[in-house]
Amino acid sequence: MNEQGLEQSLSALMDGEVTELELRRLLRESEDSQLRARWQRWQLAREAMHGRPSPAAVDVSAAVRAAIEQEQQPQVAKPVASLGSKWTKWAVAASVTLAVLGGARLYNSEPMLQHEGLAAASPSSSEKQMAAVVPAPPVVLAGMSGIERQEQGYVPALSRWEQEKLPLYLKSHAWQSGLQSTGGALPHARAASLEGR
Amino acid sequence: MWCRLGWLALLAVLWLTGGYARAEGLEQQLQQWQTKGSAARFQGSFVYERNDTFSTHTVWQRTQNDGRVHTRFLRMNGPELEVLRINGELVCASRMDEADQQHSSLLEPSLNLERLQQGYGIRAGGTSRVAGRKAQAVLFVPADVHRYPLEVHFDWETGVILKALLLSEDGELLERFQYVWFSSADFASERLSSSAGCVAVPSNQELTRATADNWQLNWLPPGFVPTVPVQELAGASSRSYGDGLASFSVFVSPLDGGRHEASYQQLGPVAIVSRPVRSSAGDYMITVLGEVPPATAQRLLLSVALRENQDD
Repeated sequence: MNEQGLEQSLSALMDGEVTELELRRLLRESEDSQLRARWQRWQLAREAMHGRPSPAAVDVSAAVRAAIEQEQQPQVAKPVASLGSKWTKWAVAASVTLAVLGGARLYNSEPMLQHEGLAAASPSSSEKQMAAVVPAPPVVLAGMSGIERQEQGYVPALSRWEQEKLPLYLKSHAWQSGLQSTGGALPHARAASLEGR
Repeated sequence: MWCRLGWLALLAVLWLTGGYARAEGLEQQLQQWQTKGSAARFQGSFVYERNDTFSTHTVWQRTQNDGRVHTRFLRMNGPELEVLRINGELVCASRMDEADQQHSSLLEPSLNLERLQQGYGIRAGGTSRVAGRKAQAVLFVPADVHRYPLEVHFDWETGVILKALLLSEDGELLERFQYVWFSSADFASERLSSSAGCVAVPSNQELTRATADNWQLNWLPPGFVPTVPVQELAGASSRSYGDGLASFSVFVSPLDGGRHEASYQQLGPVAIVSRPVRSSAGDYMITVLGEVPPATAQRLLLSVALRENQDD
C-alpha cells in the first residue's frame, strides 16, 4: 500500500470509518517506524496548533502490544463478552491502533459549553430540541473531536503565501456556499464579512 | 389477549403511517415555501454573526415591471457594500474582484430535497417567532459526522428564510443569519435602484475554466457532489462540492520554491487546512476549506491526489 493510502486510512481511523481491512493494514504497518514517527509529528503539530503544551513523545507501543497479546489469549467467554460482541472488539482495536501508532494521548476533550450561549440568547424549544438530536461526536484523536476556538487562543502565523491567497479562496468559497435559497442573502453576508475586516 | 394485541398493532401502524405522512407533508411544505419565497415581495434587515464577526444588512426584493425578480442588498455597518441580483444573477456589486466575478449566479437557488436527504434527516421544529412574524422551524439533522446540523426558520406567509443557525456537533452556535425586521408590504421602487458605486458585472461572464485539472479527490463524504466545474482562481485550480446545505472547496496551487508548512485554521464555521505536496510535476499547496468539521476537512486534504506529470 502506498504512503498516501496509509495516510488516508489513518484519517479514516480518526473518523471511526476505517474498514476492517484498513485497520489490519495499519496495525501491520505500525511496525514501520517511519509511519509511527509521522503520526507522532502530526500529533505534536496538532497540539501546537491548538495552543496546548506539547506532550513529551511517549511510545507506548511495546506496552500496548504486550496488552494485545494478553488480550488475544483464548479465554472462556465471560458474560460481558457476549454483550460487547463485534463492536467492543472494534472499539478496542481502534483505540489500540491509535495508541500504537502515535503513543497518542487519549483523553476526553474538554466538556464544551453545551448550547449555553445559544439557549441564553434565544431559548426557543426547537433549538433545545436540535441540541438533543445532534449525533454524539465520533471517537477521534484528542484535539480533533470538536471545533477549536482559534480566535480565542493561538493563531498560527500566516505565511505570505497564505495572506495573499486565502482571502480570495475564502471569498470564492463564500459565494457558492451556504443556503443559496435565502435569495443569496447568506452567501452575500458571508462574502461581505470578509470585506473591510 | 389477542384483541388487545390487535389494537396495539393497529395503533403502531397508525403511528408509523402518521409519522410518514408528517414527513411527506413537511417536504411538500418546504417545496411550497421555496417556490413562494424565491419570488416573494419583501423588505427587511438581517444580522449575520459568527464568533469573530457581526454585520447588519438590509434587503429589498420584488418582481419588477420587467417580470424579473430584483433583489438588492446593502451592508449597514462598516464600508458600504451593495449587491444587486436580478433573477438570482449578479448584476452589480460595490467591489468586484476575481472571486466575485467568478460567481455571478446562485448555484442552487432552491433546496434540492432529494439530494440533501442523503446527508440529513429533515424534522419539523415547531412554530417560532422571528422578526415579529410567525415562522416554522425545520431541523436538518446530519446523518454522519461529516456535516453540521442546521436549523432553518421559514416565514409562514412568504416562505422566505427568516433565520438559519449552523450548529456544531455539540449544539454550539457556529453561525447565525437572522432577520430582525421583515415586511411583505409594498415599498418605493427606488429602493431597488443601485447606486453609482455599484460596479456592473461584465455580461456573458464565464467561469474561468482551469486549463487542466491535475488533481483528484479520492474520497468524498456521502451526499457531496461537485457543484461547479474545475475553475482557475489566482493561479489555483479549484473546485467546490456540496451536499445541498454544506459545502467545501479544494484549491491546488503551484508553489515557487520557499519553505511552506501545513496549517490549520478555524474561521467561524469554516475549517481551513492546507499542506504542501511534492510531485513529479512540481511542488503544490493543497488547501481545503469549508463549513465542515475540521476532522472531515483534514481527511479531505489527505484525499487530494495529484496526477503525475501528464506530459510523460
